Amino acid sequence: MKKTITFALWLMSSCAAASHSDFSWHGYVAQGVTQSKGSSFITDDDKITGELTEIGLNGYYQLAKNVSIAGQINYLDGGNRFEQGARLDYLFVDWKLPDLSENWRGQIHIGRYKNKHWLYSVTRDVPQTRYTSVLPQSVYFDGFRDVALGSNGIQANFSHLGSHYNWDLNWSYGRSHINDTQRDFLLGSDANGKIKQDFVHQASVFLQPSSLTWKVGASWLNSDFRYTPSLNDNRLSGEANIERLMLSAQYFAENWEVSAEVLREIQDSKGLFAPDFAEKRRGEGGFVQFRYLFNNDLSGLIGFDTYVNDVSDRQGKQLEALSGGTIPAYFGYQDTYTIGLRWDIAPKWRLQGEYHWVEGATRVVSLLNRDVASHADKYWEMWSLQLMYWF
Amino acid sequence: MKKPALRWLSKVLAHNRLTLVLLVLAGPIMAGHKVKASELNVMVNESVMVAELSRSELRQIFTGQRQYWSDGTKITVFVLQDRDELHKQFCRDILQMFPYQLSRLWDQITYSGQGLTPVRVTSYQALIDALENTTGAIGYVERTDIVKLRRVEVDLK
Repeated sequence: MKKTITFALWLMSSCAAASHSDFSWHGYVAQGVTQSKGSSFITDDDKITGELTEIGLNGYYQLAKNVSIAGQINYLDGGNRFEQGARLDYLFVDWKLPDLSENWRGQIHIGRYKNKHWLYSVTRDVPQTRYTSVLPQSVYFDGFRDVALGSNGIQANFSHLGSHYNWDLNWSYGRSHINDTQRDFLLGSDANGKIKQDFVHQASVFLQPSSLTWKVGASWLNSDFRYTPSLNDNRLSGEANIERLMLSAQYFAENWEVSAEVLREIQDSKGLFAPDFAEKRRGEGGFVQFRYLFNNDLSGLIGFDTYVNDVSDRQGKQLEALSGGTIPAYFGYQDTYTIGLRWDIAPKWRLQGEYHWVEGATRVVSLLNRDVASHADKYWEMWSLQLMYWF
Repeated sequence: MKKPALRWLSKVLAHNRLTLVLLVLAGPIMAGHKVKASELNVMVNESVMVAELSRSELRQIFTGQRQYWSDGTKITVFVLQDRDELHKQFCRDILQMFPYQLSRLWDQITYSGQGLTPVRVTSYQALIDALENTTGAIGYVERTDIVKLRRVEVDLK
């Protein structure tokens, strides 16, 4: 990873030196304080922490009229939510296709591309573009974030720009590296081997009026994973397939905006725990967020997010029974109520605060951990206050 | 558990009421350039040989979907800050969009490597200077101003 980041930095500085007029660079710095109370989702032992840091630097260099290179590196610290450290967010060649026919445009990204298929996925790590520091976990599950952010491969986008409506068609095929933190989220902390993503295949379609006042879309994801155990492992070799279908919608008015996404995901697992083990789980959920703009500088947000781990067991009672009581029923679902305030102190400076009240804990920790129950109470809360600057 | 959460919410709302009032009062003071409705023109640098654009074409240019003029010259878009009245007027009357919508879109483009976004200048004079001195530039100015720029007729149908 260090080599990739060093390469990205070298590439960006070379492009900057080559031509000032064709190179642009931007960045952001955000630091906050945060706490999860009654859950280890962000912090252990209900501690208040400064582990809410996001720093990023990007560059965009236009090689020719239709060809550009874009890259971004970032440093993230989100407490227990994901692996702390520097990472290459994206680095790809952007090829704008010649006009296909009247009003149709095409664009291809090759390299580490960003996931353009969901409302917030393309700039999930960019604090000033997000509604809240902790995004709705039904869709933007932090345990699975690096896989959902983008992948190494190819992404194509075709847009039809009409006088009244715009269509966006996106397709991508690639693979992501899965680190040990994400492995633990998927298979529990007893797993010591390696998970490899065979591929992730995604497609989406969005419709907007040319005024961009609203946006509706649908997306599909299909991905295969393979687990190879280590020599001393509590897991066996196995594989899993995840398929996700999602609907997204946004509406913008002069003083308010609303966005919502609903999803259904089907996880099909084989092996891993016993040679003949097979399980199919269907999870469902979604969120709605409403923001009111009091004036140019201040806005408030309310939101609701819900997710059930298995639709055949919405209250988690079977989960508790099958685990012999070691996994409480409330780990089968998670409902979150959110309020937030955003204050644009000055151009490019923002202070954002939020509070989440949560019932259930299915997105807190892997349900395959031995100590699941110790990670969250049935009711818990989290909050954050973050100052951000971008340029 | 629900009760403490609701108590917290009511405290937050009560406490923020004062902040909200102060900010609402400060809003008009913090606003920038003042201009009345229908008093702005869309202008391009003298190098741009375009006399008329439709609203839909303007939207494509200001949302980064169209980056070159038909003769191959690169389009450079200049705008004022979101709080500036002239910018708000342009967004509302010409593009029929909201400034925060455009800001969000530009941020998404900038921080995901999708392309180049408009250059935001900090003063009205800086906007005119940039438009006059940048080949392929497009922006807006007050209708009464005499500037060394080419005016573009906008078809608002």
